[in-house]
Amino acid sequence: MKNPVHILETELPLPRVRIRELDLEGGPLCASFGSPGARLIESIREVGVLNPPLVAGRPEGGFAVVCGFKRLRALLSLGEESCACRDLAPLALSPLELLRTALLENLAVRELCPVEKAMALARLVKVAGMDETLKSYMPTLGLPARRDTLNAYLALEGAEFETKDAISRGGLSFKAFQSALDLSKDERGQVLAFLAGLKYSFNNQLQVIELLKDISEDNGMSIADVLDTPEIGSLLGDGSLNQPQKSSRILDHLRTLRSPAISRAEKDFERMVAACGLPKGVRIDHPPYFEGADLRMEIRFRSGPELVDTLSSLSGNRGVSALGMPWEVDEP
Amino acid sequence: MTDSWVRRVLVEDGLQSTRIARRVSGLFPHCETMPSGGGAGEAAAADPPRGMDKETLTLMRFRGEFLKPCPGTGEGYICCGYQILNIGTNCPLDCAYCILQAYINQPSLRVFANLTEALPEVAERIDSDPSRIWRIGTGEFTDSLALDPVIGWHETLLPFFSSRPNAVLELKTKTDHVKALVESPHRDRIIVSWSLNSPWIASREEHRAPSLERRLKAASLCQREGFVVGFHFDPLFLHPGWREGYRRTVDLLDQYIRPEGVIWISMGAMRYMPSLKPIIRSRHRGSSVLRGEFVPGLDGKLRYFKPIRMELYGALREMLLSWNPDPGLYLCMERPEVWSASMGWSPGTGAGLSDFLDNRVRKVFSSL
Repeated sequence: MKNPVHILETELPLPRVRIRELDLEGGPLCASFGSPGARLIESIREVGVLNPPLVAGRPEGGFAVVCGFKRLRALLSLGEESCACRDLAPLALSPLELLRTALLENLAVRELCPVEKAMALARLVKVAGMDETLKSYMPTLGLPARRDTLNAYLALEGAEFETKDAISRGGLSFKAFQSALDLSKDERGQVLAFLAGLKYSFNNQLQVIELLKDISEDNGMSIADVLDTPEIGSLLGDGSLNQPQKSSRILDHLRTLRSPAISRAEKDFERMVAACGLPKGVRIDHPPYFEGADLRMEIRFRSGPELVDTLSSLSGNRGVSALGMPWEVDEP
Repeated sequence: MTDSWVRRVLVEDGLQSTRIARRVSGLFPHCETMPSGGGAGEAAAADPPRGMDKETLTLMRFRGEFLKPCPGTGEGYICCGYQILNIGTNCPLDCAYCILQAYINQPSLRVFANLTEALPEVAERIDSDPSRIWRIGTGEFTDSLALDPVIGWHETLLPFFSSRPNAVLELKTKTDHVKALVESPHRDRIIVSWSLNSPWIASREEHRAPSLERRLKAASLCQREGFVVGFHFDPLFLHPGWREGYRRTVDLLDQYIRPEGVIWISMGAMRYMPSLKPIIRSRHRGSSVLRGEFVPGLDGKLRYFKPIRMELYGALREMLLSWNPDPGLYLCMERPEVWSASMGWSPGTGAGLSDFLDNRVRKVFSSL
């Protein structure tokens, strides 16, 4: 492997390259996804391209972009036709050396998004093989050297544009994508589009996927059928709910479908506590998932006399004295 | 037969002269030698062993303590103070729910060939606390008998434990590999126990394991031959027709087993570490074992919602009591309130449960 420092020490040609003749969306060295971003476009408009993109002249003519895809896209969006690029051809770098150069240059100035990591890994696997990519390049990208992780990134590289776009924009987590990998391609696309549309937090995305899988397994339904149930349809179409309310109600609905007994116990408990008519500032909670044995009471008060009043009111409260776990208590 | 599953045998260098290695190389003349400290699939350690390589038998040196307390589980659940004699890891059976799928980070059937040579150290531990009853089992990280026809654990373990005044050895299995046991002259201080389930679970989820009937026929043979037997309904599942299913298993117990020779019967509802879930999904597509309402327990494992566990235990307890009024019934890794609600009493603590089981040992092995 040639030392990358040589690139700086060598006088390399700086031809003016016609941007439209370059492949800016793919190609064997591309690890760049998405639009260049307003800040980069603004900077280039103001002061131009300070660091020329790197290209490699092909023996058959034309150039392959090594790095600088975003700069070139920014120039295109500004209506520029050509750009001075540093041509690495005289160095006669191998495809792997070119990829490595592109990767290191990119990593030096920014964090690659998961889609870009997937692009880089897919290209590295082609030229360096699975084992070498696992051993040498996963750590370079800040990833664990695990085959299942690498396979998930390779699957992302093959995913549909909408999924990649949602991940690159931060609307969908890579973990959610990974968690949906065992679904069929159609189901995966449907679930991920559903999640991205409802703007769930990354944690909730994982929860929704797990719930959908569990409900589908428990009831022998496809995930598409679960998503097509009238309840979800009516929540999605409910004009009185804003988007966060819809997301939250759908998550609650899925939890109830998945765990009807737990949901029932939670509702029963809420009803029992509400029926107690607790004094102001007092709340009673059950242990998480009712797994522990202890209920918990919280009293907020501003003075000793107020606390004494509250305690005295609680001590005579027949609802409180009858409280217990919902399955142990006969409701009046 | 288990030995027909084994396709490849690796022996760690330096262990060829051990009793276990000599026996295995007699059965498998083409044993391969493996460098000391290495292991089958060592290079793949960074990846989860989805295949688990149940066809390779690796005889290796165990470098830790052979006798260790059962890891049990976290705070809030009552454990029984069991001790594990670590004879190997991984198991040729392939139960969909098996926790070993998540525990084991190295593939192949690993058997610790230096066991026989380490037994004096185990004896020293046991003898150093003569007032204690040591309840020891080998069935935590592998099936106690599945590989016995190949390894011959019975040859050393039965005489070793039969002669200990303050210890019992429990051999937990789902197999019917008891021929060598019943041919052995040693009976005292040995408990042979079977893991049982409903026929629905046994036939769908306990891959490679013999049918319930074969297990109980083996148990019956052991009982007739003078062995003390035990049973473990663990893990229990809430599946369609579960009540009727477990009833059928209790009927089979009634058909094959004399109640008075049973030392204990445990019950434990399905519980698992979250990391097991994707493994079950990928290794056992279509399995039903993850169905149902699971919640995170205080120990981080997922368990059935508490009232569901209470219902399962309560129902099975009634069935078992109608067959055997004194079954030595206990719950594995359960909360005190679950004990009280489903069993009518609670040992309160691990020490309480330990006392209960020690008393069962004293009762059944009257010389203890």
